[in-house]
Amino acid sequence: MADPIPAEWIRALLPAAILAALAEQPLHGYGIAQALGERGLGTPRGGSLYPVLGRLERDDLVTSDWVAGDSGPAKKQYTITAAGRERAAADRRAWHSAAHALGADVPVHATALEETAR
Amino acid sequence: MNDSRAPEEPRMEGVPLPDREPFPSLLARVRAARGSRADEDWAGRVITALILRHEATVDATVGAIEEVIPVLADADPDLAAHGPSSPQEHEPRLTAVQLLGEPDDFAREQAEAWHEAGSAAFEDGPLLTPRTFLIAVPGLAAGTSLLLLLSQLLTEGLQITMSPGLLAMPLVLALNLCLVIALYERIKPLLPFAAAAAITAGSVVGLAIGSALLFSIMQTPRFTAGTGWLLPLALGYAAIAGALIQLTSRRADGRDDPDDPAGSPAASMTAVVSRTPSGSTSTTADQSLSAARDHEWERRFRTAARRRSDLPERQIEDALAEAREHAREAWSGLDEQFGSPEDFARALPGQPSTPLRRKAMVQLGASLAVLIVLIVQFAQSGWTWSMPVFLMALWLVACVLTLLGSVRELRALS
Repeated sequence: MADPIPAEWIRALLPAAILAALAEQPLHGYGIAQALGERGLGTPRGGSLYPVLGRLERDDLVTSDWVAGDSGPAKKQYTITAAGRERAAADRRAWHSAAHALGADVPVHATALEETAR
Repeated sequence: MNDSRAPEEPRMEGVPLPDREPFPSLLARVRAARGSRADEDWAGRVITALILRHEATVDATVGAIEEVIPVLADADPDLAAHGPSSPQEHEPRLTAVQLLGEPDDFAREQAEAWHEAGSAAFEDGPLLTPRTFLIAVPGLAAGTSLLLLLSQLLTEGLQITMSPGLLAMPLVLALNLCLVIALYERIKPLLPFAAAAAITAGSVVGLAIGSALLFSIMQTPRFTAGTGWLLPLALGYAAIAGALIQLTSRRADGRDDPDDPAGSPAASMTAVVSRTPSGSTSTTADQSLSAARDHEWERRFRTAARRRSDLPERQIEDALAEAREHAREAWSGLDEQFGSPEDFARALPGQPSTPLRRKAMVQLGASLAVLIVLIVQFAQSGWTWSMPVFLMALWLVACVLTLLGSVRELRALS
């Protein structure tokens, strides 16, 4: 069983993890939180998630649109931009460098992030 | 803080440094770090930008500068060894700008970092506390008296017709201005900007009409006197303001925070909830309590977000709609998912153009109002130039220049 990822790592990785999740498909806020949770990165609370999403949107790494819900109110859906994909790729490279610097060929926790990124 | 920014040319001239404690002693420590006056100037500009532009608290600003001192000292250990005892000025190997970036950029990045951390590093209370209101009224009356003296000298000469209304005018105008600012500050967190601005504009009109009626009642007795007698009036108001500063204690300078969670209805509600024995209430009661807590959370979030000034109303409502939806999907309350509404409001990224755009709108309204008064005055004087018309025209030019300045700043931001 993999060791739990330290909370401070997850906080620092949150923007990269969000971009990685959105690289797969457009998602709304709660969907992003669930996607990160399913991949072992912890389910961020709304208070941590939305400020980061706001900054990613301000930096033009993601865009957002309100879309009508199937059975409920409209949801704000986030889509990664081309610049966001470039940043996600750069984050992945940086992650590999960091893992290499730590002396691990395939770091255990990198797997979760990379799966999310693909 | 990031200290690996691209080197840029220093731009240090014309820096107005904060001159009240604790900044002079703090700036002296910055200068002592490696005996550089340029470092002190750089820190002074950072302080000015953090306090005046980004509305950071004094404590947070001091903390930011204190973090910089060892960075400067480490950059030139030889110079740092000379310290404050060195009589002559030293030329550092790398300037503060080269080490830490332009002061304005450094301050902006620092403010952004505080926002990202949801730090309570910003002034969010009203500018006009009861104490500052009490001091500002006679202080502004002193300044208005001087302006009245100047305008009467230009329009009437060395002799003027005095009346109780004329003597009371500076105090009434100062009181009106402070009342309008206090009203706006109180309603701004409670209402959307457009509604708050409309109510404030209405109060300006109401106070202007009330003041005009008061002045018309106070037109007698009239007597002729030297215009110079307005000078003691200004000095008298200034003396009152000075005495009030001395009389009121520093403790009274604390900011009222009606939305302090500790004393807020939400906090009381939380306390009530925590005393409720689990399982002793019905599901319906739980739901209604949960709805009440969410409602209170939303009210506190709106108040905190509107106080920030850089969050447009639409962004506030979008954030709330998203938060509601997130909490609904997670089957939890807003406070469970988002924590303190004040912290969440502080953590959202703001739009620096919003306060500038609002300022420009107010300046445009003021310019139009002055233009209307100018046209009325011009018509009353038979479309000929007189000193009052000339002064009003000057005022209009000043209004338009400040408006253009805001537009330039907006363009620079975009």
